[in-house]
Amino acid sequence: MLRINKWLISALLLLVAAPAFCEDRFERTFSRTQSYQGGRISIDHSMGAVSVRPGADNEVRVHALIRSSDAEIGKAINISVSTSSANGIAIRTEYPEMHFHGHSLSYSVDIDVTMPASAPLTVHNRFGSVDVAGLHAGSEIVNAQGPVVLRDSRGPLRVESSFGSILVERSSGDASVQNANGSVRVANVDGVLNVTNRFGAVTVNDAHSLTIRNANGAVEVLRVTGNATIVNTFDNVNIANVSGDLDLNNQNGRVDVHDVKGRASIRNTFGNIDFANIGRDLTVIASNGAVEGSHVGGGASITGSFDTISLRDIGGPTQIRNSNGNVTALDIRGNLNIDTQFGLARAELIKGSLEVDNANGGVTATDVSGGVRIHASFAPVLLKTIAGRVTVENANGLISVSDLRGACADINLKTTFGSIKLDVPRNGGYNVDARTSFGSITTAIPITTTSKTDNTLVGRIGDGTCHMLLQTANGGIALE
Amino acid sequence: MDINCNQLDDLLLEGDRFSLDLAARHAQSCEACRKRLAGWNEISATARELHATWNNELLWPRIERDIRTIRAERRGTRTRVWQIAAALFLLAAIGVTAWIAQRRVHAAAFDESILRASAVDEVERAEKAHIAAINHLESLTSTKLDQPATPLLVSYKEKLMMLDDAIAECQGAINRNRQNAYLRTQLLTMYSEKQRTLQDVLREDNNHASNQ
Repeated sequence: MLRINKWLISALLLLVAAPAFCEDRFERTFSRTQSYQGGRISIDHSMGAVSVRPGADNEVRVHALIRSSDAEIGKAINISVSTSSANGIAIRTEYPEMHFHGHSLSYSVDIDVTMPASAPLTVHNRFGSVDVAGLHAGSEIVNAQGPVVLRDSRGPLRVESSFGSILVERSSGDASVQNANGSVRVANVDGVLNVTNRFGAVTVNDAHSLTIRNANGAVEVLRVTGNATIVNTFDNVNIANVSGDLDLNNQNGRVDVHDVKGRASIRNTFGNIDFANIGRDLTVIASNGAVEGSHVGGGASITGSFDTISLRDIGGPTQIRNSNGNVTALDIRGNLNIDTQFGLARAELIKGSLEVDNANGGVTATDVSGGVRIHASFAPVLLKTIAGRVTVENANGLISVSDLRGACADINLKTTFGSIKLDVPRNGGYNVDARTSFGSITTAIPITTTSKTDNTLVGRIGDGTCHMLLQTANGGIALE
Repeated sequence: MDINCNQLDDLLLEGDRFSLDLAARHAQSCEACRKRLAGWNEISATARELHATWNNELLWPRIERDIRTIRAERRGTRTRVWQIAAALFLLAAIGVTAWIAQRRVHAAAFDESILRASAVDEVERAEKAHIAAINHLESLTSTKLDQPATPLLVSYKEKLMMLDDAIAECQGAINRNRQNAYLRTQLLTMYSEKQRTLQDVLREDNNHASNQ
């Protein structure tokens, strides 16, 4: 018994000691229930969290937890709930004037509201979080300096926050989300989605018809049913799985675009662009960043500067403009046009014609099923396995043409300060006119000569149905 | 030894052999005593005839068992009393523990809303550290931000101005609500953000190429 008595005494001491935890801590609750008669439920709150949930009946229940370091202030904090009418119910938190209290006065109010799911809602909050779920009418949530979470909503939706994150999940209406200096995360929105942000990341998964305008924050988009328009600056953009068209304008960040079923238009500056699996036409305008991509169902128009452009597997006509960077185009199923300077232009497996205008850069082309026209300077032009007409105008660079596949196509090769080397097709028939100023002309194939000097050769190969004009200054000409 | 008639009854009641022989000798000389002795002997003989014994093997075990049961019951009653007392004590202890735990959880929840004075001091120390770091960074970046030369620096300047506005707003709220935990957290977050942004500005020092 003595032992039991000791335990009991200890327990009693603890009981007595426990209230010591609660010194200077005032807390009270507020509850009010109103019958909903229509209209909008509006909540105007500050200094605490707001939580809104749908109820099973037609009642609006307001429950508030008021905490304060001062009982007098705690008791003076008022939760005002207007009388229910067809215009709705207004819930407002009212704080007393604080000037007569000490410096360390503190308080907060958390509000939980249960309301009919079909009622429209407006929430304005400051310095606290907002958490809303399960509402089926239009909602407007404006928060300042606090995060917003909204889940499982229907109807039009407007969410605005500053200096707090925004999370919207499973919304079946149109949604407008605006933030400043906070992240935005949106997932599963069935309606049209507009996201605007400043200085924060934007992440969107599973959306319809999407528009994002962001600045100074990364953008990540995954799965859009419909079109997507994205504007961003100063950060990276990742886009994947867009079933419609994509219009992307970024600055000062890397761009990565994958699996766009429609057209894609990508603009970027001061950052690389990577793309793959674009269903229809592609337009890329890049400056000061590399462009690399593959698998485009339609044609492609790529403009770049000060970095490399590398394309592969393009399903239509392709136009590439670049400056101060190499250009590589492989497996193009259409005509290819390259306009570049100060870089190497390389084209392979072109199922169409090839046209290259390169200044101060070499050109290599292999396996072209159409005609080739090259204009280059200060670098060699190397062509191999060309099926159509070949026209090359080079300055200060050699020209080499080999493995011509067609039986007969006109060949016109001109250069200055460079040699010309040509593998003549065995079954071709050409009228040959070869001229050089300072160099020799050699041939390893039989030519019916019309006239021949040290620097000129005019004659015929085979039946002579096609023209072969070879012209250089300060270089030899070799026919093999 | 000679006895008188009054002593006869005492000798008979003594019942031992010596007393009975002494009583018989006296009865030989006293008619009245001889009758009384004969009656006594008759009663004794009848009583001897009435005496019966039986051999029941279950009797003593039953008695023993009954005694054990009674003892056990007594002991059981005592144990039950102790058990009830212990249960009551345990219940009380659990109740008290639960109550204390609930109070502590409640106090912790309260602390999450309204900071204790010691926590506020700690937070204010962290704020001061942030402010010192920010002041240092601002002195390093002021030239660049006064006349931003690139779009990115313009953007950073805008962000810093936004942060300053938000910090001022939050600070104003804290002046009226000093221990509010949310306000303190928010202010610290914004100080951290400002510090990070100023560090980004510093890192942009020679990175003009990306902004021209």
